[in-house]
Amino acid sequence: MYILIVNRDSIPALFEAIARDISGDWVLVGGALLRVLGLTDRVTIDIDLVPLGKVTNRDQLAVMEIAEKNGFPPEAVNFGAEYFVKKQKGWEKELVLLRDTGKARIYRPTKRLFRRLKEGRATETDLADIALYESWKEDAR
Amino acid sequence: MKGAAEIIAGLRRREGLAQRTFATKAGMSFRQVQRIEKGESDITLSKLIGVVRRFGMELALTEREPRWDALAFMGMPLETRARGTGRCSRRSVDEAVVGAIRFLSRKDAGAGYGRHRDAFKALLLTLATHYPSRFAEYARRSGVDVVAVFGMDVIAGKDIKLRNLCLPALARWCKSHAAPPRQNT
Repeated sequence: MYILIVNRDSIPALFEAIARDISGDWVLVGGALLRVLGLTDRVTIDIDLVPLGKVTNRDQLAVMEIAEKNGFPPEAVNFGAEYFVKKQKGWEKELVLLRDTGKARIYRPTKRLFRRLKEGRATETDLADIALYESWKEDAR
Repeated sequence: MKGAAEIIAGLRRREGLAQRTFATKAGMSFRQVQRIEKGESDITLSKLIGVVRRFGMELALTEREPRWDALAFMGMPLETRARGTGRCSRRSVDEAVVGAIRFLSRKDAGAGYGRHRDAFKALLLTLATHYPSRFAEYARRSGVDVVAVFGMDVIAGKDIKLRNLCLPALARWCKSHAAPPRQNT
């Protein structure tokens, strides 16, 4: 059984492992994005990854295998956010390149799209995440 | 706590005795037993302890079984038959969370509660990651080291799956019960 020892470095470490081996175009959303950007130390236990185009089960399994190979449970990668991202009108225009590894491009949502994704559920953490992301100075959008 | 009526009637049925025979063995009158079981009369605690001991039993203080239906109503991923049908008040849900922390942290609560423990850990994880103030308040009120007792720093795939089931339901519940947890309990 693979387990995730939750500490401040586990999710950024999982992201780095995925970014190293993944191919194709993806969007990183959710609390993991804020951890990767170093905007928060808060606990998050999975990575929400959205394929930019159409992906097969095989693509998703490949990402889960990367997680497993690096000692994380495959469930630590969550693809469920795809539904919520792709139902936002004009979502494709609300992406900013976060990482280009040559074989993969990983994007992040703009502040506007991030807010739209989080404010519907509006948990205490969602609202704090919106405020953090919007106060982030490096993103002019 | 169970009332004297439930304890006396339960003990009598457990022994398989008629009220008259039970009364004789318990050192009580037949009329007393009848009235207590009907809830028409009460019995002092010391007398109740004495009666129970005559049958080789003890009255003990234990954590009450948590209201699993209230926790499922809040979003804890329990099987549907435990969900209950009625709405639960904010107060009863708060009490159920604190009660479940205490109940499941008991050393002897392991057997028979594996699924409850997994589902409750998912609820705690969801609270910790998405409602940290609420989580801190519940942990404080319970007086239990929740992170250590429920292994919340060691997450398996199963925990993440259950957390993902819990989150939408908990978010809906929290939206409709927006006030912070009650203090001073």
